[in-house]
Amino acid sequence: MIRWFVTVLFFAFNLGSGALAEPATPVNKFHEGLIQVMRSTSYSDRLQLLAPIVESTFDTTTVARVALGRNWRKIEDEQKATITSLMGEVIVTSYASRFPIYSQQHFEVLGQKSIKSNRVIVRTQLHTGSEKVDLDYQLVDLGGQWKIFDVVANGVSDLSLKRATYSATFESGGVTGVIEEIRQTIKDNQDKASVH
Amino acid sequence: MYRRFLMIWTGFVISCPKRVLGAVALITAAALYVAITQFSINSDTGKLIRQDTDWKQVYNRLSDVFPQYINNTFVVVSGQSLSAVSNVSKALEAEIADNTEMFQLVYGPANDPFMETHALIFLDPDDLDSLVSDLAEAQPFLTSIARDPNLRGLFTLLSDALDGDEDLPVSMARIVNLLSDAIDSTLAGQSLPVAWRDEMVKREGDDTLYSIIFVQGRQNFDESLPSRKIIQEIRSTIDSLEHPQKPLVKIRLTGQIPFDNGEIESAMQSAQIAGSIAAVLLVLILVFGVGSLRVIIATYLTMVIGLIWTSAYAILTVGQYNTISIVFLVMFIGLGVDFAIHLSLRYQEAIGHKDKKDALIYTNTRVGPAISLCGITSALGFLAFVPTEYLGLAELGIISGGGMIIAVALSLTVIPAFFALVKSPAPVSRAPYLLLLSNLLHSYRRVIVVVTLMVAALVTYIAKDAYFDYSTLSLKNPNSEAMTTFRELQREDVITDYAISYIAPDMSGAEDVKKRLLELNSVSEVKIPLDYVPSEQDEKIYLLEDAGFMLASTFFSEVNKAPYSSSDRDVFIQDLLRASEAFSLESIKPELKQAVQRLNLSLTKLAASDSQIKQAFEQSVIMPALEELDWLERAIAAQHIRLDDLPEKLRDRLITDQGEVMLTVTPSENIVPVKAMRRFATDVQSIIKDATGRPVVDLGIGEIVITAFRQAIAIAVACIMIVLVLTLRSFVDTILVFIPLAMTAMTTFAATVIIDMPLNMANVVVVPLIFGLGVDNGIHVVERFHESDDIRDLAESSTSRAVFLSTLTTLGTFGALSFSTHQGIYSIGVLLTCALSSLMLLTLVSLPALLSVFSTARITKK
Repeated sequence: MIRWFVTVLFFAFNLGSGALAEPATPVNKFHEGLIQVMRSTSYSDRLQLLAPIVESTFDTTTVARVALGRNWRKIEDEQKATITSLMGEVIVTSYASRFPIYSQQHFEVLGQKSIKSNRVIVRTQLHTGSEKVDLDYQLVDLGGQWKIFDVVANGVSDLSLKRATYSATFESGGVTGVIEEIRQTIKDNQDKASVH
Repeated sequence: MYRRFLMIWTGFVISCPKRVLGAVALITAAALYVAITQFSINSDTGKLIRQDTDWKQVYNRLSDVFPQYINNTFVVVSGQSLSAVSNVSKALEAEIADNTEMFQLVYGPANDPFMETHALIFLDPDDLDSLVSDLAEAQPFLTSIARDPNLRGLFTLLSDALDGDEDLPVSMARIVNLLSDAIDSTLAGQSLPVAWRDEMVKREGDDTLYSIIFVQGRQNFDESLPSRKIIQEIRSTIDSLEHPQKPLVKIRLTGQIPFDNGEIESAMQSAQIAGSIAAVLLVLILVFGVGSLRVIIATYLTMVIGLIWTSAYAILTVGQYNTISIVFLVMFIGLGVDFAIHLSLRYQEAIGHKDKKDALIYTNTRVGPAISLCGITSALGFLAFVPTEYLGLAELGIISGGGMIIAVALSLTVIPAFFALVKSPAPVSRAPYLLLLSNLLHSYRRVIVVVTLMVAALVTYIAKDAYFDYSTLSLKNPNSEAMTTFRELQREDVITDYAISYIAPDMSGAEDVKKRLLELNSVSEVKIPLDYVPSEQDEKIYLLEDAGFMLASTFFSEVNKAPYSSSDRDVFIQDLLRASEAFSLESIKPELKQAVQRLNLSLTKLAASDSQIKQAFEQSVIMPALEELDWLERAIAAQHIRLDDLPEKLRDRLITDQGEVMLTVTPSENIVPVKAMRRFATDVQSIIKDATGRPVVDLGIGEIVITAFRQAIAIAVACIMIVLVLTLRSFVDTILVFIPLAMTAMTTFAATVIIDMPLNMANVVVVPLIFGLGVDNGIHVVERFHESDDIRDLAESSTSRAVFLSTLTTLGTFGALSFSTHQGIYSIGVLLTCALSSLMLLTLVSLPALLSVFSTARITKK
């Protein structure tokens, strides 16, 4: 009886991990990148390190699309491409500037929860010396590859924040306003980093 | 022959006046009993007109196939707060629907759970998109509550935000203010739940939101419940409804049933008010005009007895009153007294040179034929509507016609019997105004004739612009709740009462008809069942998916399992209090700054209050938020809907079991002007013959009323002409009596133009009446003129005085009708006042002048 139960469990686990790539994989990869970023002291090194990781673990198209809402459908393909690539830069620069020094921080993956057949939440925690930060990653399955489209820190969704910000900007400044605002954010991140 | 009869009758009456009066008293008591116990009034305006026309059958078919649309009460819940309107409306619908004994159909389209779940799919894509952006903004707050269903999450988030050095969005001010409101309301003992949805769904300006509940009373034994009962029941349900958000909404009633009920109530109330005013006015006029207490008592008594007899007669013959015929009870006060005035004044005149018995017989035989004739002509004026399709006025005709005959018979009996018993009144001194009239007539009769004819030309010119108002709604009291609410809903495009409806045999037939109707210029919109299925669903589902992406973190958040006690609550309140105290960002917008300052004040008070209050506050914030989260999760997950997915109650209003479908056509222009209404109806009917709806019905009823109106005038004029020729036996005199009547009719038409009170279903009765009522005085004047053929004698006679007085009493009582709330009765009152003023002037001034200029003298042999 126990043997049979263990076999079934093993089989199920095997099936689960084998058929699809593990959603935690990109999360772990991103976390490893972040640890390295913290250990690196130069901002430009950090950028260089993080850019390819974000590129491979984030679904910047979804981020850009949701952030612009209905307006996404009204803009040119060229503008879409610009915004998508700028979104990648925003992500890279903001994480590069947010973790200035390494002081024994570590990430812990707590578990995951499927939302739909193609979406999953991976729950993690960042342990710093003084506190714990809940980091929930939302991932979408893009043809067999899990990609991150939202990071929720202590309940605050980064994707929602982007949507709230850029939909207001689009209202007043249109697509050029949005592009300008994203560029400004990237620059702000850079300035913040140079202060440290 | 008639005089002989009168002589015998009067002789009999004055020989045993006590017994005669006793008999009258007995009959009056019986009549009073009948009139009070059997009283009933029918308010169904549909029954006022005989409708066996094609359009009525089409309308009846619609009500058979879709009975949901008829005899409805609309319970209208409105307010600025979406959450209050929808919550109160839902609670109220449930309460009303509970009363299954009373109501058979209760349906609030917006309250249907299906509609709630799919509410977002029904939004316009742009609105939905901005709603999703608003939700993105609210995401941190929503998640904080989802993670911590208490103050911990929300207050920690706020404290962190206030403590942090990040830019805060101005929109945070709204949430901060909401919390201050909630604290203040809890401290005030109200505990109003926080209306989170109002914050989620931002709207332009301060538009009022409406939620309508359709209520239909149960049918018992094929008898529908009296509208009064339905209204009472709904009102008491509304009154007893307990809901914390009830003070934030207005709840009003409108629709067919409140209209019917209002119609009866305002007609009854109008009859009572106008009746009281008329009764008092009559006393004043009699005191002023007669001066003799005995004459006043005699005439008043005759009027009161006549009124009771007529009320009983109305119940015994017609069975019930309608909202127009009830008016006659008021009119009778002025009309019934006329004959008694003529008799009394002539008696008062005769008593100076005859003994009592002779004077009474002389009066009755001398004046009797004239007042009998007047009674008949007045009755003819009223009866003119009897042969027409306009049942409402036909009933009025039967009641009034009989009433006039009763008044004549009673006057010829009660007046002699009364005066036989009491001391004779003192003979009259001449009234000074009659001397003035006499001089005026004598000196200026030709001028008067010329002026009269010129005025006649002028009013005829103005009168050509008179028109008929087809709207049956124009008869309703415009200030009643039902009417103001109805107009408001119409103005806000919540309902379109001016739409045409059509039952198409099947769906494809409906689509085909829709296509053809939309080609018409007069049509703006055609709705078929498919139009109730939201459009652009792909786009909306896509937008909802965005929301799902962002809010998954909210809906799938892990609930914080850390222990939470009331002392924790105190800690979080203290934390936020401290953060709001310390909050001072240089670059902050003044709105947010003010909001935080206000929160600080409220929190200070909250922190100082006891634990129960803090808990109540927590409940008022958290419970509604959890409910909204639950709704949001369902609403965001909504999928495509097809026609078959719509709730049954809605589908039943659109499609029958046999597959017939409802089609509604909206006009492209304002169709209150009858030309536009006719154009719209004709255009639509050219494509769908069996179309119905208010425009078609109003036009149909209007046509019947106008036809009836023309017939009634023709009947009145013809009958009165015949009577005049027979009695006056002079073609010239007939024409002369007729001139003031025709002029008054024209003046009345002109008045409708000048005071902008178009002819309508009710006041059309006035014109035939002018001929019936006006001819009386004409006959009196002609008869008296020819007694001496001298204009001065006429002007100074008791006849002039009686004409003046009796017209004044009629004028007073009819004028009293102008104090009515019922628009139909009111407009009858106003137009009759115009008509009778004109009639009095023309009969007392113009007619004598015309007679003395044109009529040939004759010596009366009788």
